[in-house]
Amino acid sequence: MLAVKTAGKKFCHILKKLRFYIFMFALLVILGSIFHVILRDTLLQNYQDLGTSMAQRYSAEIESELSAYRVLVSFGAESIDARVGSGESSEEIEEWIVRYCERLYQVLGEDVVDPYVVYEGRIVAANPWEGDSDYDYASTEWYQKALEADGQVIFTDVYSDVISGRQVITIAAMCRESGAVIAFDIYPENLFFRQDESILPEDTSMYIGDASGKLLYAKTFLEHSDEELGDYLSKIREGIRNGELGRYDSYVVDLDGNQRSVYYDQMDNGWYVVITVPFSSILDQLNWFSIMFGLVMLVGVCTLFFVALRNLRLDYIVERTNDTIRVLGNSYYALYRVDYKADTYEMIKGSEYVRSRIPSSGPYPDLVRTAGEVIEEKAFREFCESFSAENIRNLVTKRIRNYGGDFKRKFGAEYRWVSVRVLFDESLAPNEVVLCFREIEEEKRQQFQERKLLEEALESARQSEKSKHAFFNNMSHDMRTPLNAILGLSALLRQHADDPEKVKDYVDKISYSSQQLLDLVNDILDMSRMEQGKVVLNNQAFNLKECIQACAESFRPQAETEKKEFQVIYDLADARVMGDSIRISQILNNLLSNAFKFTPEGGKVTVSVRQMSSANRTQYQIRVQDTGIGMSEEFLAHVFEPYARETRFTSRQITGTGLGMPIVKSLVTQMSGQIYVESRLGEGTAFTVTVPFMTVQENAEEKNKAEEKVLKPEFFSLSGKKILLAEDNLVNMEIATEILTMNGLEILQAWNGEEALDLFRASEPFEIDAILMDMQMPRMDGCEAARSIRALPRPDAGTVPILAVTANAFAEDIAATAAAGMDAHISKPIDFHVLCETLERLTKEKGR
Amino acid sequence: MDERKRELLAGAGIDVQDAMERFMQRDDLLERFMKKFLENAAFEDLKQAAAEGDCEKMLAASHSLKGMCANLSMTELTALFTGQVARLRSGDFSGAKEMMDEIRKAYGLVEEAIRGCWQ
Repeated sequence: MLAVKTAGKKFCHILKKLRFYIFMFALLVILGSIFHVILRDTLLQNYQDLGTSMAQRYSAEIESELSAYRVLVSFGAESIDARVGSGESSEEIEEWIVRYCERLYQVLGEDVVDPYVVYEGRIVAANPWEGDSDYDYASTEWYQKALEADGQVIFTDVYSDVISGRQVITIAAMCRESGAVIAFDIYPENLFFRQDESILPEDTSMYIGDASGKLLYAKTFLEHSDEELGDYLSKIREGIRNGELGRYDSYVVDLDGNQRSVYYDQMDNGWYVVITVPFSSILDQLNWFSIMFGLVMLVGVCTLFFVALRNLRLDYIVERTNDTIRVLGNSYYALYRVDYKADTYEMIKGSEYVRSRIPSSGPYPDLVRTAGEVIEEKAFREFCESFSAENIRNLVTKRIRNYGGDFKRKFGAEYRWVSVRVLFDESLAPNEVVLCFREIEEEKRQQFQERKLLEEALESARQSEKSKHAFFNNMSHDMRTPLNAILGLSALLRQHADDPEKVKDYVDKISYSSQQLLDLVNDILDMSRMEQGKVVLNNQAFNLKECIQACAESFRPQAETEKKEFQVIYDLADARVMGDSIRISQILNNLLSNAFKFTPEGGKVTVSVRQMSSANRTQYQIRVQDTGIGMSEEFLAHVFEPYARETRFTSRQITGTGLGMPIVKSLVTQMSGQIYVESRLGEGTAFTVTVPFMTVQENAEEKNKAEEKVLKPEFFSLSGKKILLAEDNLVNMEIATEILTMNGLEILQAWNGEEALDLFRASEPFEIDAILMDMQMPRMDGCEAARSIRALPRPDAGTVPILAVTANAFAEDIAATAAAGMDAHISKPIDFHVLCETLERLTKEKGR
Repeated sequence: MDERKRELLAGAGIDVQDAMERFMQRDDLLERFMKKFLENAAFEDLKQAAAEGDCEKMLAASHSLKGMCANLSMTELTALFTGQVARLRSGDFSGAKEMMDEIRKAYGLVEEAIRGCWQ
């Protein structure tokens, strides 16, 4: 329906476009037709004139011929009368008549005329007829008529001669005196032979009829009998008589069915000459002309058609182009053509504001002023300068084709960004440019957004750089600690080279510190490898429950000493899976050490391991939840970013590389798993790791082994314990060392707080059983050292007893030691018994 | 340990019995630590700090001496250093400095007694 409508519309549209051509075509046809009609009429009229004049000529010629006969007849009659009057005898007269007739023969020709005289009841002729004497002349028409005419010459109609049978006309006159009648028999064909017909077309027919309508003469191409021709002629005569054929364009249909023009003339004796000419002959030339005209018309029409078609096509192309340009133009809310020489503008498309204030063309400064009214104030002056006719001229001179800028323009109540351009092109009229305005609020906003994003990205890159920097600083420090321990222990080793037990101890410690350093370096390398995506998982069958149990149990002592509730919940159908157990341990270790690190005393840490389904390849979920200090929302977003610690937690006493969470994230991702973190400041944090594992059928042997493996509690015994002693004073150190050594304790000497911290860090977990800390030491005092030790990311950091050794009785000092995480304080000089009692008490309290 | 040494040391304000108990009745240890005491530089530091008016350094040295003296049961000196540390901690620098003469005297006595015993 719509298609039909559209097609109809299109047709109307095309018709509308073609109307000029159609009109031109119609005009040509009408003009041609009119011309044709006029020409035809003219031709017919001319032919009528010509034909009529021909007919008249013929009749005149015939008449003159007949009048010659008339004169000769009259002369004969007069001569007979004159002779009768002069008294000549009948013989003499008869003799004259014969002589006259013979002379006529001689002059006119024998076969042309047959003269004879009825004299005194007898027929006298040059060639006497057979049976003349019997001939009843008195009853003949001509005789009767001659008598009636009384001396006037009469003509008969055509009749058949009684004797010869030929068609004849008789001219006769009566001699008034003698009563004789002189008559000429004339053969009509002789009357008409001399006609010159060349000026009329070939197929012209000519007929001559007598007064009675009888055909005297016919010259025609029509091949019909005389009777038919006679009837045909009668029809023509009828037409002539009632005036039907008087008009130039009237015609008669001939016996062959052709249209013919009819021209005629009537003679005095009632004879008439009829000339008929076929229309086809008359209009022959006209038809030629018409055909030529038609051809020319056809060529014209073809040309018109071609031109129309071409124009249609061009129109179509132009329209397409215009449509496109219109659409392009739609993105501009205002377009003006500016003639910078004449300093005028022409509004192609005006903004509502401008349209309502200035006409569609006028002086250019008006436009600038009006357009400037809605421009933000600070841009207005610049706008006026930049788009003055003078400046535009300069731009064109410099052949700058596209010039413009952005500014804010008022639309109603709000300001929006718009862009104005001056476009110049050689295809424009000289001295003209196009000034166009486009709204770019959205683009601008996007641009600002992008710029902001870029700035943020740059800032974050800088931040990252900074973090990295801080990280390296921190790393260097963290590396220095075990290195210091190694160096210190090496020195001790050298001193005590002769004591095999000490050597063993130092070597153990050196190797431990080295191991720790290696771990740290490994961590860094891990991170670096992960950042480059180079960590390879070593997938093997392992028992997930055992793995997690082992890992969790290593945190249990810490939980106990720090008075934190620690719970591990298993919900596993298939504990045996394919995976990298070391990496799983690494993940859990990281998560747990964080959980413990950030959970205060009395808090709770829960690990739950759950199998999501029992399919062959199934999802396992490990959730580590604590009731610790939680994280701020801002930090949550960065928790998995490398080096996040240093930048976010500078004020807190939290140790670690800051790589733990990024490493966890990388590992989980590599295991095709996912990690989520939920946290609220002051409420706690929960990390949920979901990893897919392929389950492995567990065999009985391994199951038994797993059950056998039960963690046995360690028992505490004071003798043989290793004590870390921090004391800066040589004498004090020696005294304490000596006394304690004598009591069967092993002493690690630290000459200041920092060294104490380093030595502790370098020790194996749970290797050092207690720390005796002098309060006032260079580099790092006892409180700070204790605080730092408590903050170390190792299971015994929170549990190892730290005793302040002080001679100070001040209450604030005791409070300070408690605040620093120390468990008790003993007075200086160290009383071994008090020390023993205190350590025993503490060990009992902490359940060791 | 002979009586002469005991008397000499006691005369310098040293609780010999207490010290011997700490060192589990080992004369050699007492001797070693007493000699070490003579070698320590803390007293020189203290004097220098007092002369320079360096309160912090003075406190560190005095505190160190206090611990050392306590360990060696030098009762009088311990009491003096405890007093000086208390003054320094309360910000009473001039008071602490005023004690220097008395301390120097007591310290000299202790030094003399140790030297008298083992040199």
